Amino acid sequence: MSADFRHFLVRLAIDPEAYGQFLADPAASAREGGLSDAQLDVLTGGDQNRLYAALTSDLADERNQGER
Amino acid sequence: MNGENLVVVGTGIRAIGQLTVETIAWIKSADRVLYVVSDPVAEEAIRTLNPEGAESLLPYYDENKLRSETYREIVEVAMVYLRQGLRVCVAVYGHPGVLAVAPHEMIRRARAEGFTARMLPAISAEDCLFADLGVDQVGGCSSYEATDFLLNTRIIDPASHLILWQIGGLGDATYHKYDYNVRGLDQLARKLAAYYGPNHQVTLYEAAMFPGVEPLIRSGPIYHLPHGRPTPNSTMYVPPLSQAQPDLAIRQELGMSG
Repeated sequence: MSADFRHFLVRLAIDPEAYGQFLADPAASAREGGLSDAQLDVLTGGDQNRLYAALTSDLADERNQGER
Repeated sequence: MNGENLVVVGTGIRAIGQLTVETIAWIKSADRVLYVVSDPVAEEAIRTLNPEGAESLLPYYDENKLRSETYREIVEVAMVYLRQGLRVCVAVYGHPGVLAVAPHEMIRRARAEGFTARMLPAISAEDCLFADLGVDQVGGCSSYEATDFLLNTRIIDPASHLILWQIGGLGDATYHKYDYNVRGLDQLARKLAAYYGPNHQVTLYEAAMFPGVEPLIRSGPIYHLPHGRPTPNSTMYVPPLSQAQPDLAIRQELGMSG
């Protein structure tokens, strides 16, 4: 679930309006951004390790493919 | 002011909320963005803002490799692009000028070779610490890199705040992706205890990387420090032991005795 999850968070990082909407109503913002319930759960769960893992789980695979 | 060849920026501790408008603009407009960040959102943001020019500096970091060697190499990478006539943006996590050898050296080298170069301020771990621990610098604050503090003789003022950066990498000059080979916690505890006593409470602090996540804050007495297992990104905070002694002569001279 990493790539779309990262794209959603990038939008929060570079678009203050999107971040404002997220702060006001995380669930509505996540739904509008196309996140699943599981992704919303990770995002609002307050667990940094879980968030980091969810954001990076596909990167190792991508890098390995790139090295071939 | 706006035509720099080299701009060094920081992405803060968490990209969501701490990327400044100015930093975003420079990342977007550079020909080449050289970056080293630990926050996966920051990395993706850089690659989104500048898909053609983004280049990670992480390949220059290797397990057990001296960080000083990596710094020399990445400075040279930036210089190569500058000499090609490209506008270069270097993005690092935190504040680019705080405990950041390579960014300062890039600025110095670039200017020495006739390029225009600028560093932009950003949010550092210390800034996050002030906010999360409610520390007000009004009583003074000393701030050291932990290994530097340990290996050198410093004058400690127990009436002001003390911050030791990179306590999680104490005594280890090499790079590690996960855990550092922390050495010297016993000696550090001894050094601090000489000023504060062994029972003075200190805090190991790590800022949150994502919104909605609480910072890691663990407190305990100095004597327990050798068993504290600081995380790689930890910063140590030592609160004042006492209030500063008033300078009565100056107060009297200025009529500020209250």
